[in-house]
Amino acid sequence: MKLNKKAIIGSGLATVWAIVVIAIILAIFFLLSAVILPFKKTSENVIVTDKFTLIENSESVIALLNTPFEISLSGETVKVPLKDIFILYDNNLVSNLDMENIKPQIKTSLEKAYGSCYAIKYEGTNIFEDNWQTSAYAEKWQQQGEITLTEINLISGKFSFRNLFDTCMIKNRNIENCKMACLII
Amino acid sequence: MNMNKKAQITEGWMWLIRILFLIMPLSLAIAFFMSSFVSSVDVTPIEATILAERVDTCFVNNGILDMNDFNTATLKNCYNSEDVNAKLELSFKEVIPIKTDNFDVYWPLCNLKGKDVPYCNEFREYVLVKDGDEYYPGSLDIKITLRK
Repeated sequence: MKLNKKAIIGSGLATVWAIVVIAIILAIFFLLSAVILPFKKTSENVIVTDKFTLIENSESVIALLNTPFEISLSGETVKVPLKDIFILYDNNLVSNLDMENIKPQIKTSLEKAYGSCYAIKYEGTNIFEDNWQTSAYAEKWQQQGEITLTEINLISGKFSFRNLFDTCMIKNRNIENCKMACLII
Repeated sequence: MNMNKKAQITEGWMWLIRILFLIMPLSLAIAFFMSSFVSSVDVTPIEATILAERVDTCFVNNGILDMNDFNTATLKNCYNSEDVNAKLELSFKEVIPIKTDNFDVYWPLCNLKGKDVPYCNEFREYVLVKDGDEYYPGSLDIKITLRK
């Protein structure tokens, strides 16, 4: 009986200790909540930064590479997809293939969608660049890691595309403002 | 000795109860932290971006948008949800819009502020349009409304 009494007292004390421990845990929990709550308030609107929405869209770049442009072959004007033009150009398969005549066609096509807010580069045997180095903003955004860079490896070189229109959308959140900024008619 | 054994068994049971009492508040605390963290992360912009990317899956194949597939029926199949509404504007020779049934109901609400206001976003991309046997460079404007 004496032993049993001791056990009961011990058990009671252990319960008291358990309650104390639970109280301490709850106190820590409420303290942490109080610390986290102000952070929660400020970050409620945009927790997931908009940078995450800058997703590489290779479909647009594939579309450009599949776009046929006019070139002169044996005195005849034919339309050839851009990716094939690069192959012809790099391998010197066609004489007198002038990339300077193709550049304005690419420009006109891309300007329909992105105005001046794009940059392309093809690193083949002959490096071809359009708008790549000209945009000071592009360099700035590139350093901040806020430009989607899509790279597609072709047979003879790498084609790169910078979408500055998407970057503008992240900054302005208004398509009309971006159309104006990018001079889209 | 017999009594001692009984006390030991009782003590064992008491320990089980104590452990239960410790686990319960701990799991409650963890659950509360998890729920508060998850509810504070607003993934709607990412959701809208992914939904806009779905246009490529539904309409564009290898960068080419076939005019035969560019219709409201395909769009409705693409966004088969009451929570999502979309409008596509394809510009090449002319501007061709298609939209889901309730798009015009939700889009004007975008400028309002409130808990139940839908999230809205716009996207733009370059597409190669196949119209008959001809190919045209074009642009596709995607407007998405997403009920939160």
